[in-house]
Amino acid sequence: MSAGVRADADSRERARAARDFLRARRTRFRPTAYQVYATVLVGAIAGALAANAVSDAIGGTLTTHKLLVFGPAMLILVLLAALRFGTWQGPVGFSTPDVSFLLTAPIAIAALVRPKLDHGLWIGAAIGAALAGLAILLMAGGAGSLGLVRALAAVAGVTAFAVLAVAASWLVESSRRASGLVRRASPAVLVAGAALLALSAAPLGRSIGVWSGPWGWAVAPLAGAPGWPAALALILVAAAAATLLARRRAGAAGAEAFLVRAETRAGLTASAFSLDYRGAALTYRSALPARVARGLRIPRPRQPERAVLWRDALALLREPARLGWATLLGAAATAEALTHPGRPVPAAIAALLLYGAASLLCEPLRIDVDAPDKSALLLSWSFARVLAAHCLLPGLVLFGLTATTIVAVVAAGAAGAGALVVIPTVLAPIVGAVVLCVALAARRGGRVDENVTVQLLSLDATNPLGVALVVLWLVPWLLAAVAIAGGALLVLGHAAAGHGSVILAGVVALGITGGACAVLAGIARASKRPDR
Amino acid sequence: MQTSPRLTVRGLSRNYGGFEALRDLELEIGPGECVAIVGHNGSGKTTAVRTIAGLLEPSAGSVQVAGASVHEESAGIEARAAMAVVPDAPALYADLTVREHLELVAVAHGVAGDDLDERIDQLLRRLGLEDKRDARPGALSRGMRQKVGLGCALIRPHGLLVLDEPVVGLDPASQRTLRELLLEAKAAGVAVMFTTHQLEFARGIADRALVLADGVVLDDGPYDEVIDGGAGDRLGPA
Repeated sequence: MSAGVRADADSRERARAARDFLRARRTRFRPTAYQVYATVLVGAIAGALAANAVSDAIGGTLTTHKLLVFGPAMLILVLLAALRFGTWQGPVGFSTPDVSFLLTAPIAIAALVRPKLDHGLWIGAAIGAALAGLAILLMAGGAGSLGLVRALAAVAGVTAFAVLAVAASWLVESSRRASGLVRRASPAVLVAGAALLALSAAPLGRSIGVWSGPWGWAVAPLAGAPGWPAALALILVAAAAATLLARRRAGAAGAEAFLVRAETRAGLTASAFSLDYRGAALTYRSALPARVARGLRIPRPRQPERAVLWRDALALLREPARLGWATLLGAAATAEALTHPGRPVPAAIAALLLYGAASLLCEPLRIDVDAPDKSALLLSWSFARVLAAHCLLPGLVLFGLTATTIVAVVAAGAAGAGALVVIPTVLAPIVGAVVLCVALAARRGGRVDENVTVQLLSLDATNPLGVALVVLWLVPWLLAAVAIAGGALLVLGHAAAGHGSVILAGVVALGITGGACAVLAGIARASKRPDR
Repeated sequence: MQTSPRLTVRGLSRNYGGFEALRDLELEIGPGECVAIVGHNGSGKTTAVRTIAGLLEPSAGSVQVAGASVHEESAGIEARAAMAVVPDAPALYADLTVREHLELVAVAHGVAGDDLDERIDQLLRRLGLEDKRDARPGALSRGMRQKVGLGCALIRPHGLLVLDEPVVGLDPASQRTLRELLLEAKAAGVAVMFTTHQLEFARGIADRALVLADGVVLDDGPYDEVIDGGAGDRLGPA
């Protein structure tokens, strides 16, 4: 036996011994009967609500047509989410003590990674199989309509896709280059998903969706697309190849990748326990090195009142990814509202997306709140004036991109020309209300007041009322934005769909958003600089 | 694996994004030699230790321990076998006792022998942790955690001992014990490298001082010569 082979066997032996040692001595979580009861109860309620929402969204039952239209685009999103997860965490994670004790030991990293990777692959397979089973149950006619062979093929296809997603996530986690590539390509992948969705209106487009890649191959058996056995074979081969490659690259990641991820996870956990979601966001961002576009400059303004506008514009130019994501979210929000008029869930989703876009654009305000002493020294304005000044650029950008999207959607024929009337009338107050909500949320720096935190933490974690209170405390301005913008979009959409007077709806929407803007501006004017 | 210990660092640099935390570090430590890396906060000491320990990838340059490259996949195993590292704030398992941490290190490093239990007990006594052997990290002070980290490094064979700010959090008695342990390690032929900004602690232990500032080596030479020759004044009182 050569020295290399012996060393490898020793390394595996030490890895196994260390794992066994830890498994034997570490405390295992054993829930009490009450915790199990509470979890099952809350899970059942949440599950019933989720099932109802899914059922609503798919119009009662899942048809093969809907699967062919939405399936590939949805699975592209799932794959992108798995790949993005790999850029900052991934399926293989070590704790900080693991890094100190195991990754600095004379043990091959592959020997430590492989069991965790295998575990992740099994979990992925289980989730895939469960989702496939759920989809079959939701299908018109139930499992019987597919027949045993196709039902098994459908489960195998989605399961293989989930395994492929986990393997791909590890390949990203194990390579800094792949991580960078995924971050850069993410917007393009989203656009590709949207294009697949748009194409799926025609039969040829649906065929393209099915055969365009693993996201389509996985759906084919479930949807009974022509040639589905070949698609199943393709997804199985792709999953097997990705798994083999992932296992072969088990030793590819260095200790640093795991150390950074462990520290990020520890930071996120600490932020979550202290209900500090700004801290969590900053921890997440620190795990993803920002791609700063250096050298971009804007001439300094001569008028002091334009200082914040200049600073916000510079920040946006130097971090173009923020503008890119805000554009995607804003465009998606507008398209969602225009193409599903008068329906509550799409209106709420559109408002949520709009809030997300405004949040990205308001980042400089959050940075000022993170270090209030610095911003107070650099700018001797009142905080209310700083806050208002920070709203200007996000408001203008968001108005511009939503107006552009409305024009594009109308030009594409996906909405009537009447939608253009929204631009000079209610669009500005809708955008204004959302931006003001984001700005007011930023005042707290994403941190709940200490006194409230103590009260919240003293509530029983299994008490659903406690959870509801936490949610209300954490996201009141998000809920306000959804209520205001979502409400206005719902009223407008309802009229646009032919139910009632459009003029009256416009007046009501203007009343809701204009009134909200006035109230929100009043709260903003009374705001004091946070003392953190 | 007790081999002739030696650390060789060539042109080691490390950047964080656009920030250069360490530039062109050259260092060689022979058996029984001790080098103290001194410098202000943010001078690059911890980055140097973490990169030498293999916890950070270098942006440029190489690190070899006992002739094996730390940052290569297979050679790294040999390098890690020869090097014991004590971080500035040891990360401990919340659900393992002090004694179990030392046992885990012994298991992960393939340390066996009938006298292992006795050696662990001896080391815990030496470190003043005999009363805390069954305590979990939540019940330990910072200094005690530091001593657990030191115990974990010393329980296994090593030719190179690397410590990051080992004095921080230790009371005077524990500092004396640490000093004795480091001198014993040197006498046993172990190469020792540690970072500190407590200059008096290092005197009498370190043969050489390497002064870091903004990631760059400002001075490198015999400890007393470097520290008394002006570096000590620049770094402030001990």
